[in-house]
Amino acid sequence: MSILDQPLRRSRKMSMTSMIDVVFLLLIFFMLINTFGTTQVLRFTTPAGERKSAEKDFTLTPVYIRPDNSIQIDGRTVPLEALKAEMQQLKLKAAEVTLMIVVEPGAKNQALIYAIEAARSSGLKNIALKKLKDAEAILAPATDGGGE
Amino acid sequence: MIDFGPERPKREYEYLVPLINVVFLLITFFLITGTMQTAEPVKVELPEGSIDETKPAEAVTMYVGADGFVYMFDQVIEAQFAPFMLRSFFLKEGHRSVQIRADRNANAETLIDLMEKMREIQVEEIIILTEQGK
Repeated sequence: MSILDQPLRRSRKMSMTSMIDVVFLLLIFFMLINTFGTTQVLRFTTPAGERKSAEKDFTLTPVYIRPDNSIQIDGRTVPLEALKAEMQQLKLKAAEVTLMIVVEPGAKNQALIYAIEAARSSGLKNIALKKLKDAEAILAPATDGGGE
Repeated sequence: MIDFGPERPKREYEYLVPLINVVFLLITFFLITGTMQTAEPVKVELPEGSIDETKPAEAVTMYVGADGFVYMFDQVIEAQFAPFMLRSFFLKEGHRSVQIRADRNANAETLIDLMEKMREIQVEEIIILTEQGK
């Protein structure tokens, strides 16, 4: 009897249990290693060099981040909710406003990010980040101190 | 009384195809929506933020721990020396973007120092990573 004459044997139903095991393992693996889109990006382009020309109507406004992480503008402590509105007011002061975020010793990163984001959302384009002693050297000729 | 007809015969085994369909759908969902977590050299709690800009394709990642130390290329260094390491790296690589994962409790002065030094070594773009606020 040739092989062709033999009756076809029906295959037994395959057990799906092992496949389900593997699929569940994959599912658990992806659930554990994935992080969802909670990370956000804040981009800074570093300035190309020293400014060559300035607008006549130009102001440099310092915003102080105090060691207790409060934010001060013109000597007043501004709550986080009001920060954006306050910075929008600063923007109207001159045709070109540069915001100088001055970090005092002991201030934390979180407060700095709040200040940067408020400045960005208020539409301020020029933002400088300085430590207190560097800022004092810049501001000393113009003003008699800032948020102290 | 309502007659529902004769009871259907029970299957010999549970029908598993819908279950597999659902599980495959879940796997596809996790594959598409998630991003793989990279091994972090230090536990960093990112600061809360609200602005989200587009992420650049290539950037060197730098971690700033709450202790103020910088973790980069499997090394722990003081913040003031980190840009020097970067300088030698950039001589080999084309891109000049750096992304900073700084802890929310890290000293803000450390971050400013880092950014200043990076500007000196002509880093074109600095990316600060934040976390979506609750």
